[in-house]
Amino acid sequence: MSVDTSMQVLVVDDYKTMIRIIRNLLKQLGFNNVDDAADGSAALEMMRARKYGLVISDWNMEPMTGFELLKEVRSDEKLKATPFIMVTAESKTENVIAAKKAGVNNYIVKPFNAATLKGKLVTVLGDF
Amino acid sequence: MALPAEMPADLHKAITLFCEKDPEDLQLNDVLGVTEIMALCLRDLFATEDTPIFSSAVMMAAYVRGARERLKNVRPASLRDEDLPLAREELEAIVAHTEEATNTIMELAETMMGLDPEESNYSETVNDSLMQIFEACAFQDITGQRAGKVADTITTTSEQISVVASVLGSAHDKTVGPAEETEEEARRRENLLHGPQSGSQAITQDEVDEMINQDDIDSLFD
Repeated sequence: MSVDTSMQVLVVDDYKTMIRIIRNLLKQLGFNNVDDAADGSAALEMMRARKYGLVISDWNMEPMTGFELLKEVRSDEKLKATPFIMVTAESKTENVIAAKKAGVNNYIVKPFNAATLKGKLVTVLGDF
Repeated sequence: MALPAEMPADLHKAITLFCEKDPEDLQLNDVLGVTEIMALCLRDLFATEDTPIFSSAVMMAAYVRGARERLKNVRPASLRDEDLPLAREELEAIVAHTEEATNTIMELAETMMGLDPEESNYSETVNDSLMQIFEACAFQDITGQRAGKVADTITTTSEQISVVASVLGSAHDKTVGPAEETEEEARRRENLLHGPQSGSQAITQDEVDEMINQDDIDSLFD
């Protein structure tokens, strides 16, 4: 089944520049419906108000980190099936394992390029 | 406090000056100064006899003299009032300049992305945008120079801390632990990562992918 690129994507990052980069890369890949949030709690509120087909979240944010957001999402009956990709500048083994155990679908190390993002989207969502 | 009359004049003077100081204003150098004079007096007092006290006094005097010599170039006030605030300003300027350049480059890229190749001014707009992107990339030269200044300050600070640590005898003392963690520091440590790692510490995207794709990884760490 092909991926519906008109799905709503939520990008969560406290750096506006990174949101802008991901938004532009997604646009180039055909995803034009992109919302953004500056931390986990804002994202969670948005996810409870609107259905998202994918979440791409940074880890390091305050007050709620991306890791805490992931755990909240996975423990919420209505949200737990949402595909979730973690993006972080820190790639320690224990963080990757923690994210995997918490139910992350994929993990991208910053800095990354369009090919890496596309590869992860294909892995998580399927071919498009 | 009355000092004994038979005390050597130098020591008498040093202790008097020491005692007159406000305890709040006392510095390590003041303590070392008095200690050195005391050690020299002890040495002179026991010079005629070959006693352990004489040897200890000689060693103590030499150690204190060496410590004072090493501390001569430590400039904590200069670090605190000039070098470190300046380094902070440089870092803030790096962040601001990088952000400004990134925004400029992205705006131009977005402009080009939205252009219609069929439009008559397409080529001219793309060329103008590319030139402005090259110009914006000059930030790297400036931020590189600023970063170099910060690196110099870090080196100087580190050297001066090493001198103080060696004088205090804590340079190699593994029993001296870090300061007690505050509640806020503990919360940040537990929840936040430390940001980008240097090349030797970071794992690659390929290694991350391997971990993510390893189906039985969870059971390995249970």
